[in-house]
Amino acid sequence: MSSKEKILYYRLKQKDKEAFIEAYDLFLDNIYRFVFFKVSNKETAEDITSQTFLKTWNYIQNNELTDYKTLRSLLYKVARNLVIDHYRQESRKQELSLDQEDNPITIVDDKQDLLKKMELDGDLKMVAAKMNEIKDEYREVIIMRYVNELSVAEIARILDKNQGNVRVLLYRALKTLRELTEKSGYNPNAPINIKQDVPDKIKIRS
Amino acid sequence: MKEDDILIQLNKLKDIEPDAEWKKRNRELLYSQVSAQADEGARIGWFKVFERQLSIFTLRVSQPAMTVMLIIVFIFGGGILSLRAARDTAPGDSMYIAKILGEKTQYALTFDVKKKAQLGLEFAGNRVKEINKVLTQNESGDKTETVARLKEDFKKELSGVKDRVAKINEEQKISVKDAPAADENKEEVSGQEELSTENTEEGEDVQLFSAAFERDDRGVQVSESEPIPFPAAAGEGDNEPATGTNLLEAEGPATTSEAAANSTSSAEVVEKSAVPNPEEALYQAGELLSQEDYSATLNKLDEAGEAIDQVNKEEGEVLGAEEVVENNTASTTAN
Repeated sequence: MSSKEKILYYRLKQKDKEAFIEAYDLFLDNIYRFVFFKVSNKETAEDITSQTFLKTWNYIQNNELTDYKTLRSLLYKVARNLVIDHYRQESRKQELSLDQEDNPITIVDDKQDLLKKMELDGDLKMVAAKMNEIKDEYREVIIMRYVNELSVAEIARILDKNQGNVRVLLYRALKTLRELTEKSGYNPNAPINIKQDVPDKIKIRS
Repeated sequence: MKEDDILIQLNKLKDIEPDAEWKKRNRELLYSQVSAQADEGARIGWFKVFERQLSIFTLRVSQPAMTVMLIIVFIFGGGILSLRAARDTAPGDSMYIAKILGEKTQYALTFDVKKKAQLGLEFAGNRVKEINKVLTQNESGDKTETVARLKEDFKKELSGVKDRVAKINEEQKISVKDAPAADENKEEVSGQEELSTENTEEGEDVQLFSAAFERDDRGVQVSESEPIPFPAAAGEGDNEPATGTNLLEAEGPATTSEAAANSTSSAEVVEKSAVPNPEEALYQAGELLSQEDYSATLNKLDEAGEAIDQVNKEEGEVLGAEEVVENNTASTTAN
């Protein structure tokens, strides 16, 4: 945690709203990216990101920030739980079992698919597309570690796992992604299938 | 695609960002919601704001300094507290080892021979007090062995002090030898004595009263001053002092009574210089301990301490006093 984050954290403990807005500016992009890769929908990602910050502020108001070593870990935990809530609600709406591997949910949103709109080179397109094919557990550690550049310790704190487990998870995730990219059957126009296995929500201490 | 390439590509995914428009809009919305909630809570006063700013400043600036300071305070404070707690301990107490260690440390950190000797005396005194404590304790157990060990320690401390006293004496002798000016002055004084004897023989009424000696860096010197005419009250008429005695006459008492007073003060100095010999006091302390007279041992140690303390302090005065005595003897002879 940088000294800037430490000061911000201290000010947030004092329920400083200005500090919270500074935290918003600091962490918004990372949280949005994390959520976006989990939901692959721009609007949903925006909604969940917005809710994440509001809910975090409520935690701060209720003096629950003291339970967390960093604000970042609290934000990721809140975002993760909101994504899980989102998928639970979706599953109720569609009345479909998400656990059925032979019947994955297909979310196609050509209008809002940011990845498709981005002018990416071939390799990047391939990696971005393959990210949606790997397990959600793998995807989130890859995003946290290699995209948002969180430390293993921070990831462990967010996922409530020990650091050894996180390292193993990262290794497997990267291996899976590499195997997928090595396969040549990549079709950039193919719809992105998200296999979302809904994990248990991480308990936020209160 | 290699793993490194994958990692590079993954890093490029950082380019995914929310719309700037949405960011701005959401920021305003969030700010208004947060403000509304914050306003519901307690309002923060100026003092609170100042306190907060001060805390942030403290956090930013002095965090490492404070940590270092706390460590230092902890180490020194803990050490001092444990030494204080161990001060009145006796062998067998859990903190006794801390006391001994503290003594050793204090000893090691002292470089002045005289102070070391004083410390040795203090520690020897501690051993005597410990013996007293062990003997007065009601606990059953083999006290003899402990007392014997403490006596042994006492003797060690005492012999250390004796060595140091001998060293101090040696240094003192060397410093006296190194002052040739003092010898020269002695010769000058003896010359003056001869002159005064001659004058007396010539029948001149000259009285020598005193000479003021000053000791500077070069040693003892006779200070010359304006001749004081012999007072008529002496009953000798208008006798004028001989020019030859001018050198001997220094500022000082002009009457015999004052001379007597002067000689009394010199005696006091001599008395003062007759401080107990530290070596003798130490020897006596050892003897008293053997006789198991502990309070007398402590008193003797105190005496030895005072004697050591006066060795350097009185060095100059003692030497000066000796010269005064010599001079007084000379003046008496002259009379």
